[in-house]
Amino acid sequence: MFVNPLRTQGVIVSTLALIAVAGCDDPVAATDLRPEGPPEVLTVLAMNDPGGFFEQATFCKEGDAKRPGLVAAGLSFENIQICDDDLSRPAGSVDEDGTFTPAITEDLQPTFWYMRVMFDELLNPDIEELIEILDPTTNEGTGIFNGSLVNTQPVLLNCNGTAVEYDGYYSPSGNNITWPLGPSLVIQPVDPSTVPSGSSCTLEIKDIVVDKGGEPVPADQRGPFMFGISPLQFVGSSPEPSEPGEEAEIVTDSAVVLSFNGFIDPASIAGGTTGEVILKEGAVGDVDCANVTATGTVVNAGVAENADGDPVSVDITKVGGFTADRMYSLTFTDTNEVQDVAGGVGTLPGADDFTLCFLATAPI
Amino acid sequence: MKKQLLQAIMAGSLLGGTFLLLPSEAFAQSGATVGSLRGVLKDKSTGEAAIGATVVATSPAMVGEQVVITDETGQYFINSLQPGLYTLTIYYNNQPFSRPNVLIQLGKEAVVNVTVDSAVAAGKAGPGEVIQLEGRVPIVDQGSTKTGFTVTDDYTRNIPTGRTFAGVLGSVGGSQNDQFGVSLAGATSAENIYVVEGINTTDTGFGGVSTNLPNEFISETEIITGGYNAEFGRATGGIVNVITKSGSNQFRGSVFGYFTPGALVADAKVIQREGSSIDSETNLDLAFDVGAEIGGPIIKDKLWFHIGINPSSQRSSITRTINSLVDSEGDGIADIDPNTGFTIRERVASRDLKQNLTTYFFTAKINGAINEQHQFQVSTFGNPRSGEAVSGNLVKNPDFARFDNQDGAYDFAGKWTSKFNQGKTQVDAVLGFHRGYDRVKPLGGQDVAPAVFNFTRSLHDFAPIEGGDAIGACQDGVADDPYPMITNCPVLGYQSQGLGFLEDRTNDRASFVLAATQRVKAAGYHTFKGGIDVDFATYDSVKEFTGNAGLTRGNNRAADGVTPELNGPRPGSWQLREQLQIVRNVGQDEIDTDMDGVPDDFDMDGRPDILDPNDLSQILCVNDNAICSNVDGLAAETNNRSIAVFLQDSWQIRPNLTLNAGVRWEQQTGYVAKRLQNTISPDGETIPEKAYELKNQIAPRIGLIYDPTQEGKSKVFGHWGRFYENVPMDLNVRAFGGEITNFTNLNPNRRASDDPMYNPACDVDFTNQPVGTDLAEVLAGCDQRVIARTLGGGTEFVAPGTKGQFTQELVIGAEYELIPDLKIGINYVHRSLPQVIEDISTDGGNHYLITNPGANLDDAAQDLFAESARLLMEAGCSSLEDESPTCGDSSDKAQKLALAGLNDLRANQMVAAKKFDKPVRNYDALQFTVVQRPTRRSLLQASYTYSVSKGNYPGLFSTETGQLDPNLTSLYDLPDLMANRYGPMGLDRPHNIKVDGFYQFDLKKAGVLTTGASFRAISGIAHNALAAHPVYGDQESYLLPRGAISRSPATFQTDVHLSYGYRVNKNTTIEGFIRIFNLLNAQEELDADEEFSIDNANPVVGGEAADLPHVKTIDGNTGSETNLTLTPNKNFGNLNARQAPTSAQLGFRVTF
Repeated sequence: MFVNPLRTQGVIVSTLALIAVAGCDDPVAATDLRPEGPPEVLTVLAMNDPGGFFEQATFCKEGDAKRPGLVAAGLSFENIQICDDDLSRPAGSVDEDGTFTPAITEDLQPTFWYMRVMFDELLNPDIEELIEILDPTTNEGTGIFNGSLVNTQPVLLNCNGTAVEYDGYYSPSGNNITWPLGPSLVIQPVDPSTVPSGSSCTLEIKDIVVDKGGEPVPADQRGPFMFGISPLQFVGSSPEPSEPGEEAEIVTDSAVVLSFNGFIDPASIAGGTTGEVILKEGAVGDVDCANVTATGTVVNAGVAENADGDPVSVDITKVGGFTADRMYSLTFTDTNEVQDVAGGVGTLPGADDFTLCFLATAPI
Repeated sequence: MKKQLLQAIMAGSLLGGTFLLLPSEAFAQSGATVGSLRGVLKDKSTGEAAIGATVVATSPAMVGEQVVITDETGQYFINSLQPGLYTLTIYYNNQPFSRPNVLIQLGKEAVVNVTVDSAVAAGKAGPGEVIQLEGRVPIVDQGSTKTGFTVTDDYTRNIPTGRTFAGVLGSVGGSQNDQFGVSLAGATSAENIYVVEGINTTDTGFGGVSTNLPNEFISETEIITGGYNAEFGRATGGIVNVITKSGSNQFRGSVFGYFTPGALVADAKVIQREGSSIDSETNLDLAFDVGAEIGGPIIKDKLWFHIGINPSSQRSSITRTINSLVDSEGDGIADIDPNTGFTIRERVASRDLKQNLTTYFFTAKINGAINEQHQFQVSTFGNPRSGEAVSGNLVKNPDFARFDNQDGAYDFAGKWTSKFNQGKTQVDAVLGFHRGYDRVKPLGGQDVAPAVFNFTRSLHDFAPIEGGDAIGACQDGVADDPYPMITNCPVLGYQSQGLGFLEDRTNDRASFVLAATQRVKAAGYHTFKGGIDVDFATYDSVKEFTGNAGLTRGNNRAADGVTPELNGPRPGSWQLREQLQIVRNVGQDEIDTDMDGVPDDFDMDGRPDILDPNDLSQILCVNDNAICSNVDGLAAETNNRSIAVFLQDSWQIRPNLTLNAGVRWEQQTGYVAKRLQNTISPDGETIPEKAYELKNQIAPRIGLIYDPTQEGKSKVFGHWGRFYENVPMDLNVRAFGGEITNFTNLNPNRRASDDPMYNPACDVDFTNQPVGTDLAEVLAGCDQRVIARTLGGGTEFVAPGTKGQFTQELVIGAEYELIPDLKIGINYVHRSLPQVIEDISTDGGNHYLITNPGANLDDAAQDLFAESARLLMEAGCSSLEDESPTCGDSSDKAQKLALAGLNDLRANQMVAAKKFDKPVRNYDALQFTVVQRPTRRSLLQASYTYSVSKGNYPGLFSTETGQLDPNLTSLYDLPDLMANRYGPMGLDRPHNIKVDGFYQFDLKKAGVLTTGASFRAISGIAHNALAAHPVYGDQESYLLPRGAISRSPATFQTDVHLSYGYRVNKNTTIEGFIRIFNLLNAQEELDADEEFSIDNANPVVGGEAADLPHVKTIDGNTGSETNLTLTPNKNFGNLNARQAPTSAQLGFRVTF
């Protein structure tokens, strides 16, 4: 029989073991969120990518190491600098000379913009409603839902001082190195066409946005966060301008399509023979674009909604139809103003910047 | 490294392997194939030490005898004793004394203190008469701090176990099964090493068992879970040490047979799963093996032999059933069983596929003794296996589900032991060769590319394969459709042709060990051991898809992935997956003559001009720096070299106090595949011979053993040590073998027939081709193809200064012999994994870096930045973006500019390495044991282990996805894959109870009746909620923290053994027995489906179940987030594996 000290040693062994097991805290990982304290806004991102993928920071929380820096985004994992690595810097950009310029994002895409507010911890998911998608064939639930903020309205969204009707969703996934960043609230205007291009906007968080412990975002972190919608801009035509001698052909009963970055109001573009749209018809056999542009006969330009229903495009035709085998040139007046359906203004490029020549052909 | 690249390899792949003998292990092997004995002789009549007594150890297990003389303190030491029962004959004062029944166990030191009474002997014994001394050898191992258990043939004969030594590993306390073997001490099974007859037989490619032998060939199996000295190494898990039987001066042997007919296997409970019309279940038809082993003298006391042969066959039927959904109400909604929640299905058809595999186990050994100082041993053994097997996935054309399988291993080992200086000096040498192999060949006519339809469709689309009449009930939209409102037999992922991805591999290990032991008396007794070993391992691999490609067809759904296409389905696109090999490197001036940054395509055919327009298999690869082409079997011949040196001292300070201290130095060098060595990479670098070198791996070990009873009946011990991993060679093949995988989208625009660019060779489905058409041949003519992604660049970069992967362990414990031959014990183990080797990527898999994740590599990165700057200067450039005319304006300068960019990229990756979370794996266990010394009559062994295993790094394979790519798992490939990885590990089972025992009833002339039983109880594992990652695929995104989903229930199992033996004569016994496994037919859940959704989504960091309904999907085509929640996996949380049902095994044994 072994002596008491050994038995005691056995007890000590057990106790040490339990202490060892119980006393080790879980390590803190760089990928962890920060659930202590109230939820804080690390960054506010805006959709300003014409491709509809990349988001740009309009706000970066200064001095917070949890804010995102260089993030690998998308399937090709392209590196994007969301917030500067210098934590003292707000949102902004660095030019080629290395000069940093603070800036908000002011070129949001008028047709599909949205805002993403990224937090440092998970929110109470009740901020979002889930609406089930029904199978169109059976009308039964699919088990897949859309998120919605229509009824909870966690933020105030204003453009040019006017409240903007919005929806959106809550995304609990992600952290400061994933794409997209998260956790986040995504705020989308219900109808972006109601927001004028070129608007100055603000987003402000309400106190109903709380974390799982019920703590709201601190009052001094709720905004307003500023951003701007890109002004209405002409982006191109179909057909496109081309090299002399390589002009496109269109069928006489079709139209030239002008595309914009916003919801263009066709009525704001004056056609006819004296409006902003200058449509000239060349003489028989004249296929010289420069000549047609300079000396062609001004014809009655029709401006109409895009036949395919594209809200960012307008159709330009010759009233009565183009004449086959004639070259046409399309330019705009040097000074002009166009509007989107919400009243946001823009301009069409002058002749120096845009001249389109095309040959009308008879339908087959 | 992406797991899906090798998933097909892992499916059904058996572990053959080459092995390398590691020097220290070889020394350890020589030491580990034997036991030792020491003690103190006292003369009772004088009370003094019995000085100068002659101690002779003899045993049927040992050739010859071992003779030593007691020293001035009466102590004696005898080592290198074969395990078995010994008799000590002591000659003192001209009187012989005999102490029988001294049990020597493998790897253990027994303490036998003997008191001789010279006065009694003088008075009572006659001349020449031997005085018998009574006493028992204490069961406590006084020589080491090792934890674990030794399995003897008493155990394997009378306790229901598996047929081989791998089947007994689960007997040791704290062990558990994992996907690839048996986990010891919280580590994955791939981290164990297996030593048979002194040579390392571990699979060199992936770790794990390669050589495996039946228990009838085995003398003892020592399972070491921790606390071992510097002579052992190369394992961050446990060590399994096996010695085969040896001959003796008598002919001894046995003939045996085991039979498990399928009729003696109970029905397995169905594992219900949603989603597929095709189910399968495997039923044993018959498992049997018959064998014989015999040993005896060639020259008595000089030369012995032992041989054995044991063919073992397993025949199974895999029943493949086709089921239909039911819509009894005709409402368009499949009926659901209200009791289970599962969709109701009814059987339509079934077919049996046969599997028949036979293993030919063999062993042969010769033991010899020149004299008692010089002994040798030569042995060979192996387990070649062959037969026809069935693929694990049967959602496929059954004619392509069977394959020819050949795998196994064989070994040769030679050992020499010499003793000098009255046994105080010993020299051991071991020479060994191991070969493991695995060859999977498609059966005749199967060598076509696999084609998988990765969307849900009716199984009746494949009626020509399944039999139109047989699955008539699956046909939708006909007059006799039983359920016209639903798709009767939906199937997802049907494979209409081809076997899949195969590997043909050979793994060799050749080794040599030299070691020396010296006992020195100085302030007690020192036993110094030192050794060196060198081993060479190879892994020769040929990997290929059958038909040289893999094809997957996309679905016919609209862009949102939910809505069926309203205007009818458009042709689906295909993804072509190929293995590529570099044809030649190219320069930018070749592929981009107009210097616009885009490869030239002047002929507007959609392909770079540098490629042969008639050879669609050519593509630009490796970041457009090379031309690659499909390869018919990617071959890689790789090798490793390992060297280890160790020195240790077992210092017996006092007879009851021993200090073990040692240090081990290891070095491992991995080599690039031979065909790539010294070639120029597409990046312009010369590929070196060495892929990596892990130098100066210093592993200290220190332990203390104290026996308070001073009689060898107890010990209090402690041990601390560091243990380095021996990196398996899968790393060589995958990272340095030239592996390049290309993903091409065929028919990406899904052009319909009214499209002017429509090509019927791109519009390929099973249903629009003649029956029997090879779809791959048709698709070869599809010219509409876009390269989606090319992974791999031939070889990966190893960060300078990368250090070896190791664990650290602390063991504290105590044992006490409560009653003779029964000891109780308690021990506490803490293991950590501070450093791992893994590949990381900071750019989504475009470039990988092998390093220690989480380590700060800034200093080494600065060296690379400096090198980049130097190269830039030589290239005439001010920066990598310099577009001046003088920058890189010659071939040499252009190459230097490219190399500068490469170094800069690598340096940036090294700087980013610290962003990755450091690896964590903490295992803490408290274990209580009760062990009775095994005898012919009885055995009892019991253990209870309480353990906690938490971390973010499971080990050498992923316990969630099953990816077995040691040191190359997908875990660290992307920083965003790291979230939520910390928690209870996949091998965390808090409670683990094992009880084994048998008792033999001697019925005298009526025979012998033996009853044995084995009881197991173990906690279930905690589960996860997983989703897909858009690049890395299924189950790579941890939606919730690891282990957040509730555990599987605890499982219990009782196995029994009942035998009757009849003694024909003194040496011959005939025995018949029955074993019942899982006596109570417990079929509890072993595992559950952890896939919350197959959709892509990012983790909810630190989230909980309430967050899951709000998680949004990521579009796999664009990488953008959508406002759609995840498609729930109906099987999530449902069990997907059960305990095997009750089975009975009949057997016989004739022992002579």
